Amino acid sequence: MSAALEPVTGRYVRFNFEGRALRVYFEEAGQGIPLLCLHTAGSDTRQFRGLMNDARVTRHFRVVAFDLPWHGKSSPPEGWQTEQYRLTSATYTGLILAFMRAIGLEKPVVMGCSIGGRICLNLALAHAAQFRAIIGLQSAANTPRYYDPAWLTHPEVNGQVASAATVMGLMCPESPQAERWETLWHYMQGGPGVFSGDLYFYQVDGDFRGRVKDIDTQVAPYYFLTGEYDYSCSPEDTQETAASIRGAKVRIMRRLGHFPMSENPQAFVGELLPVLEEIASAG
Amino acid sequence: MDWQGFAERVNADRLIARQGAGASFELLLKWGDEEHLLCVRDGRLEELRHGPFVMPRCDFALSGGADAWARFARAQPAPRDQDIFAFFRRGEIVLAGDTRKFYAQLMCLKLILSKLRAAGAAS
Repeated sequence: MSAALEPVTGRYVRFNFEGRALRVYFEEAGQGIPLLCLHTAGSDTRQFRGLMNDARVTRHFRVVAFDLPWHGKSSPPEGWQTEQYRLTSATYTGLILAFMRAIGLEKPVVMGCSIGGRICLNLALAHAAQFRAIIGLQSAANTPRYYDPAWLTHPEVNGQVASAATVMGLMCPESPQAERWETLWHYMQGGPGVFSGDLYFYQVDGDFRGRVKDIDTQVAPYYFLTGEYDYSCSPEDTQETAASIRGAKVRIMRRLGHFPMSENPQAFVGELLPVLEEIASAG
Repeated sequence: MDWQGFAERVNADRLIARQGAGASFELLLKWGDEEHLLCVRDGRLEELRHGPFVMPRCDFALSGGADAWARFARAQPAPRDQDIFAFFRRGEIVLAGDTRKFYAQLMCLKLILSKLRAAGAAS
């Protein structure tokens, strides 16, 4: 029998946020410049498994990712059973900063995808000085609503399967089947109402149009990386947002979709490395 | 669209058999001026009928221009032509009928629609 122990370690951290006790799960691998990764709506840190297992990244970067409360192995706060989960810009931003304080993460590079890419814009607007650089994957200031996530919590709809089915077409058809279906499995394991609760931020609350022009890339450089197969945050959406931010850099990733780090980690790392090298060399 | 062999491709697919197990619905697919009725029972395409129809029974309908469906059905769809939701966003394909049933059957539906591609590229 052969076995391979991965370099990824997982732990829990407890901290108070908005008057409630949280138990948050996080994973990390590597050493060097901290790289804080933010998962997509309705998923969890496993989306970054490829990054954490890629020595090209972990040789110089300490990759850290945490499951938002209600997601993955993080607990929902006590009393969750009587409330509806709805993510807002303020809560999401505060959670990221609180997690950084809780584990002592100082001036990381932050890289978020989809809702994570959206909140990166708010981090750049309001907290840029706390970050060495900001990387928005599938990042744009707004996404028009073209489906109603309320159906994902209908009692006669299997929300886990329907959530996976909703996002399955966002990936490049040629991304490796094993990685595509691993990505969908994470969606099939999401808690009831969590994906749609995240989409409240994505579709309603987290609209940063009109504000992103105030992002100062002299404080923290901003990189947009967007997969060309993504129709939720399309290359045009990203380019429209980036055009209003002086100094922002855009890279459209060929043969990748909405979940670049998860649907095809190998190809994604190839796109990411030049960005990481530029950030590292900037000091 | 050449529908020859479509039902066979759907019903021979192990992925659809597994992920579509239990799915049953009747889809009216409006491809430009053409109408096609797909009757799915337990993840199998039991009946495929071609119109025109007069007031056909169906659970939901997907309507789009012939050009939109042709782009969706290409063996290697162009970026952002690989999924019906992309066409929803652009208003090129429209859903009508029982939305609850559409969402309940969405996994099976998308996998079946991917078989419109001769090479069977995933949705």
